[in-house]
Amino acid sequence: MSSKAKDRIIIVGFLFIPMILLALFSYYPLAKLIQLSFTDWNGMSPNLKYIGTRNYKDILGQKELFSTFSNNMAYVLTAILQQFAGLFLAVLLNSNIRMKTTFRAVLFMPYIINGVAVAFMFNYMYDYSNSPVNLILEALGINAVHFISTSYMTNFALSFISFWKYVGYTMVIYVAALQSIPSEVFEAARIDGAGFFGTLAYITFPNIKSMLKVSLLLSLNGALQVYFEPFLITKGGPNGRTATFISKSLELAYNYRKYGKAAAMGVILLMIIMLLVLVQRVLLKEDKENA
Amino acid sequence: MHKIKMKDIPSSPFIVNNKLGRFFIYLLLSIGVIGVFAPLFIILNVSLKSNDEYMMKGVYSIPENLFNVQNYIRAFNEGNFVTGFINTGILVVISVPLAILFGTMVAYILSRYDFKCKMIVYMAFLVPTFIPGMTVTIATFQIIKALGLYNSLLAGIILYIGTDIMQIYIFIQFINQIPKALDESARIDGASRIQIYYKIILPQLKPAIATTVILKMLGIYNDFFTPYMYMPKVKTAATGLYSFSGDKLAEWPLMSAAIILVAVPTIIIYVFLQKYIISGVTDGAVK
Repeated sequence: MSSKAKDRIIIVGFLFIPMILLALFSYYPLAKLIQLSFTDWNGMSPNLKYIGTRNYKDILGQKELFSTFSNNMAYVLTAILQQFAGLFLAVLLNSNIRMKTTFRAVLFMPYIINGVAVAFMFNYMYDYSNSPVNLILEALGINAVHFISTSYMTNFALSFISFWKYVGYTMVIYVAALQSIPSEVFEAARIDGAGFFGTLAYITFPNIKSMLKVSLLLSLNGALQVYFEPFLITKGGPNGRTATFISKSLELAYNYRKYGKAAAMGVILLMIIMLLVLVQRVLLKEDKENA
Repeated sequence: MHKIKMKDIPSSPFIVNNKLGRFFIYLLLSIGVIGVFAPLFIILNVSLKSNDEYMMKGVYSIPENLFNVQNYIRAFNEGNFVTGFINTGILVVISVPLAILFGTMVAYILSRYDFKCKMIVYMAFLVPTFIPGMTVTIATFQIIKALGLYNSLLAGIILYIGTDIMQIYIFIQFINQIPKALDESARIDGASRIQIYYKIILPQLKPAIATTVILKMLGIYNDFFTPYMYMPKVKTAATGLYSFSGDKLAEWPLMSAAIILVAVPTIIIYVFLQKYIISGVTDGAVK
């Protein structure tokens, strides 16, 4: 057998199973999702009835859609805050202090803790009567807070859970980015007499600008896909006050058997996210060309 | 030779010389540390109290008996954590090696071979990394059902193997750093392409594989959605904890013990493998 033929056998052999898995669990679901979004499938009936773009029209014409998106906005704001908090911590960590590795290890730790455990832990922290947080507030003479209530603020309480879990992760990423700035640059700035804030403004920020843009887009992307905390703690309630785009679509499918509509929501979200990815690519390319 | 850089935070470019500035840096970082530990210590504290003690003395009193494991025993039984930990273990032991095997195989082909549709194959693996899994859940659910895998451990196993595509790109980067001369000299010595894969490439990839294994283990252990969605009757550690929601949710000492039970295994792993985990996470993100 020629070595060419042997190579071909190896290529096919090595790629065969991974390609099948890829087709089955990445491409087929995508195709299926798009197909279902044009039907009124209820999850049971054996044949699909196509109803054109009615699901899309329904969703885009509903006020509910905007209220779920406005709930997602709380997560977007928290995610942006998390980026800056992470960057801030990274800048602090990147200075000449002792015990850096320890600080970094502790601040990163929440990232590896089981998400259900973290959500339930905060569910306890947020409890109204005799909760750990309210007890402290009362001791300080402040009125107890209904963290989980019918107010919009509940979304911030929920989004803070992922802030707690992921801010250390954000920090670690920025520490790596900051370390890629050559230390001679900082040295030169110091000799020129730049202070803490001067260095920050003229050295740190310009050097990690593209990283910052990408991270912000990624966190926006993540905030649009939030479902975990409302799903675990409030079930989207009360009255849809904390329903996010994904938790709403899951509820439509599994509680109300409106699979077609839920699929259409998935497709809409997918398109928004693809747009974000595209913007991110363009921004990165610009930065590379400017560099 | 291709060791993973241990990112011990090196030289400090940002020199703060005045005492007050340094004091503030320590202060702010310490506030962060307290923010991480405070909720964990609070639930640890509560988990060691009996219900009566909790009612009488509340959250912050020090437990009367620091070795009161009653809540842990109850949580362990009521959450079915024996089954949960075993199932999670099975998922890890089967999915992780297979995912790594397939991932390195694809990476080897894509970085060492030239063939006609290479670009198409490359793109085929790249595109799904942009599709967030959460958006296609409803369709994935249909496939799992159609394959008869619903409520079977196989659902989790096959999804963990089939949907982690990012690792391929990490492996490709590492393989590209291995000099092709190594392959060539092995070929001259008569090694076949398959032998090159497992005698040259795999050993060189060890550090990358090690971090990937650790991160995948953590990922599977911490994953709630896959077992909840596709195998609700097969409890894992995460879904076992979830089964406490409902009326038990307000029984805080029991609840706290259950939370600690599920949180502790990854914290222990983290204490020992912290450097690998952090460098693995940064390698995956900063590309």
